[in-house]
This record gives sequence, C-alpha cells and structure tokens, in this order.
Amino acid sequence: MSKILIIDDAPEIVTILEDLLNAKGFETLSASTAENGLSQVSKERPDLILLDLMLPGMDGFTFCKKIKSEAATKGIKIIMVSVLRDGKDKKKGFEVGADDYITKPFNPDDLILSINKQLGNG
Amino acid sequence: MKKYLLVLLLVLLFISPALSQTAEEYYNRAVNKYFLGDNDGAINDLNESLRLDPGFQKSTDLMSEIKKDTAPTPPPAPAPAPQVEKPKPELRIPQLNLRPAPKVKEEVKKPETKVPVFTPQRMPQVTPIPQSLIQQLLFWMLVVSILIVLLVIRLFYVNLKEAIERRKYQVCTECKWSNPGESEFCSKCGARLKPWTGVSAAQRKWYSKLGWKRNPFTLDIMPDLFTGYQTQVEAILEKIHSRAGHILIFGNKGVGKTTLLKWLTDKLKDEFMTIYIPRPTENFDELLEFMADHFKLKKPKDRHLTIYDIEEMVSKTHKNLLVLLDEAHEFTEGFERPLRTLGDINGIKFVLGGLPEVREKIKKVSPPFYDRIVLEEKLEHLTPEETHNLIQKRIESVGGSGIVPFTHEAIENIFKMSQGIPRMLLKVCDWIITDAIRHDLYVIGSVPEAAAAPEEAIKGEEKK
Repeated sequence: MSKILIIDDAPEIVTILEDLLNAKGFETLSASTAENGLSQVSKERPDLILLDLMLPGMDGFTFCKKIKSEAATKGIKIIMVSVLRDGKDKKKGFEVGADDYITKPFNPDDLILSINKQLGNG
Repeated sequence: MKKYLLVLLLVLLFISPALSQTAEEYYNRAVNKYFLGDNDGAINDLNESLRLDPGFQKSTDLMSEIKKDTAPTPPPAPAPAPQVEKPKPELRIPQLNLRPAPKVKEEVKKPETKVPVFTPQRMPQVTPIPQSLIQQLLFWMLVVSILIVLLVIRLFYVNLKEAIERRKYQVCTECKWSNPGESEFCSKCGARLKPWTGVSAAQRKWYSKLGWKRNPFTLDIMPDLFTGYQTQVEAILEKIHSRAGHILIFGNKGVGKTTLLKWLTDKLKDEFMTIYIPRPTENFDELLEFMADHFKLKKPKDRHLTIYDIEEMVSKTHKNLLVLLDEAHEFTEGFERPLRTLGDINGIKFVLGGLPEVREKIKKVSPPFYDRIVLEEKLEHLTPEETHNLIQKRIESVGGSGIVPFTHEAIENIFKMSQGIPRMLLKVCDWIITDAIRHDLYVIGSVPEAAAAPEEAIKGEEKK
C-alpha cells in the first residue's frame, strides 16, 4: 500500500483528502507545516507528498527543494497543489523538483490519476 | 480617556488665571502705579489686594500712605514751622504756608516711612516677579503631574489587560503544546492555532475588489440562504400542512439539517406557533420551561408548569404548535415521556432532525411515537446545480456578483471535492479563497472558463 503525506494547514481539507485517498486504498499521513512535514518524511518515508504551496513558516517551494536536494529523499514524488494556475508558478514548481502540479479546486479524479501516474500504478 | 484628559486640561486652563491673581501681585501693580503717579489706579489695585487677602499688611500700609498723600492739605501745623524755620528766622515768609502738603511730607517724612519700596535701589527686593513665576511654574507642574499620573494608570491598565490575555493559553491540536493566547501559530510544531477569521489588510483589499463585505463561506447557519433539497422540502411542507403526524429528517453531519429546521421555523411562523429546540432537554420540566419562556407564557406561582398549560395555550391561540427539535439522536430516556405525551396532543406536531441513527433510536425507545411519524426524509447532498446556487447565494449575500471569482469549472470541481455536502462545500470554498487572497488572485478556475466571469473581475486577475 502506497503511503502519501499530505501537507496542508487547513485541517478540513486534509480530512477531505484523507477520505478520498483512503477510499482509493492509499495510506495517508498529514502535517500542517513544512517543518512538521520534514520530520514526517524522515520518520515515515512516504512514497508521495501532496504539497500545498502556501504554508506558515517554510513555503512549499523551499520544502520541495530541500527534499529533492537530499539523496535519501529525492526519490519521493511530490505533487504541488496551489490555487495559482499561472505558467511561471508551475515552471518554478518544476524547477525546484516537483513531479506534478495541480490547481485548486481540483477534480478528485484528476488527482487520483496524477498520483497513480507518479507512483507507476498505471 | 483622551476626552477626560482634554476636559481636565481645559478646566485647569480656565481656572489658571484666577489662581495666578494674588494679593501680592495686586500690591506690586499698585506700587508701580503709585510710582507713575496713578494714585487712583494704585488704590483700586490695593483694594483688590485687600479683598483677596484682608490681612495683607503691605497693602494696608501703602493704602494708608496713598490716602495720606491724596488727603486735602491740612492747615500748616504751628509746631513744625518753627522747627523748619528755626535755623533761618529771617527767611520766614507767609507763602511757605501755601506749599503743597505732599512736597513737605516727601521731604520730611520719606525717610521715616515703613514702606521701603519707594527707593529705586530697593525695587528688586519688593517686586516679587519671581514669586509669580514660581506660582505659574508650580501650577503647570501640577498639571503635568496629573497628566503623567493618568498616563501611568492607563499604561498600567493596558499592560495588566495584556498580561491577563497572555495568561490564557491555547493548546495546539497537533502536538498538544501550550501556547500564549495571542499566538497565531504553535511555537513547537508551527501548526495554525487560530482559524483565518480575522480580516487582515490583504483580505480587506481582496474582498473590496470583489465588492464583498465579508467572507461568505463561514460555517454560520443562514436559514434565509437555505437552498437545495427541493424534493424533500416539498414533501415535508406538504405533510406539515396536512397535519397528519410527525416528521423525521435525518442525514450525515453537515448536510444541512439544522439550516432546514431553522428555515422551516421561520417560514411557518405565521401559520403555526413554531419553536426551534436546539437539542433534547434532560427532562419534561425543562422542556416545558423552555416552551413557556419562548412563548412568554405566564408561569403559575403556586405550582410547576404542566402539559395542560401548553395545551391551553395552544387551544387559546387557535394555531397548531410545530416543535422543530434538532439533534434528536441525542435524546435520552428522560425525553421519551415529553416526546410521547406532547406528541399525543392533536394540536402539536414534531419535526425531528438528527443523524441517521435517530430512526433506530426512536423506534427502540419510543415505539408509540415512532408509529406517529408520517414522513421520513433523508438529506444526502446537493446536486451540482444546487451547489452552484448555494455558492451564488452566499456570494450575493455579502455584496458580490454571481459566482465571481469562481469560474463554472471551479464550481464543478468544488462540487466534486465536497461531494455536494454543504458544510464541506463551504470549507472547500474558504480554503480556496484563503489561498487566492494570499496570492492576490481574482479568478479561480481555468482560463477558458474565466471568460464567462464579469470583465472587471478578470481585469484584476493578474497579480501586480
């Protein structure tokens, strides 16, 4: 069972995403800040991270760069989630190492598709 | 506080001239006038001085001196003349008697006067200008001291209030760490401690660009904005009007049961005596008290309220009583009797709202009441169209226009994310607009759909 870490500071949304992903057979973890997310990464080694860009403290871009710059964690897939749909923001996301970028509000089916694609589930 | 300070200052300013006019000052002015030959003016000032301080010796002395000066010339005393003329008897002439008296006195008596201020050399000693200045200085020092004391009291009060606020700790839901009351984020794990309820400058700017007065996506129950569940609502209204029996509405959390019950309470208030009860009471007496308070029913002094009092009230008003009871799944066995007893009265009908387990609970605890339920309606979720309507109603209720800033595609995705459950829908909308505010973004959704949104919203789209 693939393990997905959700990093978002809105607990209600984390619940929605957890319900959605659990229903599709994924194991979920959550963190409300990037700092908290880093400790979850070192402890739990998730397969994929759903990352909100605007977080209190360290932002999503910095977090992504950190994960992708370390040999031990660079294999973890990261899907960025943001309300920004501007090309330059997506570009910045990919530059710091994101594997995919999804715009809020998203179609849950598209999210599942992207997750499966990143995890190589066909 | 500022007002009090201002009033105090004004009062002090008004009374300050009065305070500064002393007997000494009048005396000094009198001395100056006397030197300038203005005897009348000097007398007036001396009178003022003595009015302020009747025992002021210097004024009394000077007054008597001036009076002597201005008194009519007395006939020449025979005694002094020989004294003056003694050395020069040969110069004795009758005109000498006609010399003005003051001059004689000036020459003769000046050295003997008790008022030394007449000599120019001693003027600095008798002109107490420094004393007057000291008085003024003392007065202003008093004013400043009062202001400082008030300021210190104010600062102390503010600091005390802040200290009390700081003592109110809030526990982080993520890591259970205790944080000071004013903290927005947890100092240990960084989790948000307070929801985004405060309106920051960025929020105000964003809202005002969209014409919003506030955030429309709060979880507040707004019965007047109730929308959706058209089929269920029609069936419920039909059964209420037929007065056939009781009604049960059930569904999961957040589907809109409370909003519907409150909407019905308000909609039917002219036709029925309606009462919304947020949750079952512990016992019968509590329920009767609640109803009596709501309908302002006169309580008997010598006994407890009974069901007959409610029945009598209902019969007097010639209206049926509609009791809308929320959280009905919470009812205990203590509430079974009121439910059954009141439910047996013809003019009283119940509309119960609760979680899905409420059906089994009523069936088990009060079979007689369950038998009187004529309609059971399950609320599940809104349709995509109802979702669109709810979002539009919420936005328009705060002054916005249509579904701006959302595009139709965004609304579709919000529906899919929330599964049409109103509470989830509001949370998703709030989550999205919070992010949009942080990015100063005015169109939410994909670009082709954005073309459907009003032009002015699109213009403000790009972050400057």
